[in-house]
Amino acid sequence: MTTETASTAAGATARQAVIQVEGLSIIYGRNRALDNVTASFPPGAVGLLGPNGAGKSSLLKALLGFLTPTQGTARVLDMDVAARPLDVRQAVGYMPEIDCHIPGMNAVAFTAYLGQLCGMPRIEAMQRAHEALYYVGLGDERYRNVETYSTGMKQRIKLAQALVHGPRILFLDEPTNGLDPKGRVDLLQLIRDLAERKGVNVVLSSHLLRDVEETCNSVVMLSHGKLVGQGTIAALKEASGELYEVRLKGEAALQEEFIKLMASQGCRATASSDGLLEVALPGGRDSAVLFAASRQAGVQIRHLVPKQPTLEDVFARAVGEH
Amino acid sequence: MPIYDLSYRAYRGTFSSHRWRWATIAKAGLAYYLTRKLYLAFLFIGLIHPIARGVYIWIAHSNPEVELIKIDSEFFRGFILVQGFFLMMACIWPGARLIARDLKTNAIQLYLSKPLSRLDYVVGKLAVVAAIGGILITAPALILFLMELGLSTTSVFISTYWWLPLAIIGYSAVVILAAGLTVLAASSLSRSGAYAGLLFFGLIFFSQVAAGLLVLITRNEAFGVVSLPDLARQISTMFFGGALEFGLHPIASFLVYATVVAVSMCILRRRVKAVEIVT
Repeated sequence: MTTETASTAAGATARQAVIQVEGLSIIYGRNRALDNVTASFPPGAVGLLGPNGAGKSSLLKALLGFLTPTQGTARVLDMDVAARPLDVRQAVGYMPEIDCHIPGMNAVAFTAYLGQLCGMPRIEAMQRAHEALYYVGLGDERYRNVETYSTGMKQRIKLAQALVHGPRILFLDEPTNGLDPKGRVDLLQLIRDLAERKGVNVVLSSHLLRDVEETCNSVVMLSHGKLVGQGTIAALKEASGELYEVRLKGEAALQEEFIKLMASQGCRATASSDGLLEVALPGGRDSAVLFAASRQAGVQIRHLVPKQPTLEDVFARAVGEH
Repeated sequence: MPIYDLSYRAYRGTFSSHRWRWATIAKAGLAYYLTRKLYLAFLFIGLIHPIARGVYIWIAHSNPEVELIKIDSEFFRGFILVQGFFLMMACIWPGARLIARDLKTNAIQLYLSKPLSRLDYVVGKLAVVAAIGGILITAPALILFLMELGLSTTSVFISTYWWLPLAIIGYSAVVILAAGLTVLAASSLSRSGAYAGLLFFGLIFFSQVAAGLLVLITRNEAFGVVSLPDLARQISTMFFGGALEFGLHPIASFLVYATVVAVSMCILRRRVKAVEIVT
């Protein structure tokens, strides 16, 4: 199964998708931030993957109604974003990538204020602010002015303000930016908990594949504004075919010839550390193709170990194909 | 205990309608300034003049034999024009900081990620300036009117000036709207409240200089309305009566006023955005 077939499988579940995007394009001047993207986000935690500048943040901003698409439509919880942006934002909690706060407020006042802006009564907003701050681990620091917070604390309070009104979907834009390893683990645990136990649908936008792999079941992958793959991580890994670690013996020129032969067979061979090659075979091919290529190139295979494909392999393959 | 073990529950309560969300912004903005001693001191200074006028009215009624300035529409017009200075000060502080501070801390994206429109945001900020303007201008003028009414022993004042409360409210609204939108536009052009305040002050100052030069060069007094304070004086005569100061038709003055408001709204429309697009 290729990434496209995984995409088709995802399309079959489009009816129950919480977010649907069809032919979405966003153009800034000459720059195409999003280019005819059609994707569906199933319930649960979905990773929005892509390198910097892939269009992840632009997609989130289009889903919030911040950006007007040049063409295409976006629906969140079956609401058309262009027609009902305020209703969409009522149902969504957004944790921005950038450092942001409202000056002159402590954490409780800040979180409660943003709850009130969502239409919560003052007392309930205050109660929810306390709960949200405890939940994200800022309970003891909740009366401190937000401006004095460390980077990690600012990330947490951004999550608290996104949660305060009890959204059905959370948009998290690079949530682990600037966090130390422990802070990152804690925040990812929170995100997993929200998606798995608290019934909150999460869209996690990140360029960090590990973050997505640790928290999400499905991914939508973007590169240069285009959709390069979508589906469950398990299906995408399966679709990415077999992966082998190979060591060759022979002259460098012959090894180059081996790589070219593999490429001509639709296989991707990339040099890794210690003179090893990482060879990805597409679905339907087995290791026999490796031996055939080695015979033809005149090199010996001295080491052949099957490897479990990671999300990084899936992503690299998807980006490479487009 | 790991932090994720602490409970989070879905919110089951109700949300208010979108219509009054701007009021939350206004209340928070006012609460911020009205709980600061320095700002309360400024408001107190701004209210010394109304208190003095109140004392004047009281003296005028308790000593009818003393010849004092007549309490008429001109008295109220003069009062409001003087209070306009304090409105300008209120525009510089806190008006100029209202959006600039949010730009500095990227708060606009936070606001607009909530179910708020850009109009809600601007109206909420404008309401802060309007409320302070109301404290400094509208409320004292209306209180003075009621005071004069209460102390009058005849019905001459009310029968002659029954329209004064409407004029006070109307003129205050016009001036506060223009000043508020102009200062918010200035505030949206800078991430520093101080620079935005300087920009607003500069606009007032240079409009006066420009008006002076235009009148000098063209020898046409109608150009006086290029000066924003003089434009306010001109418009005040339309509400309170009296001779037009620049011989300019009232409609022309309103066109200048409408231009100021429209330009400010255009700037706000361009600058108050959740996303800054750089092409």
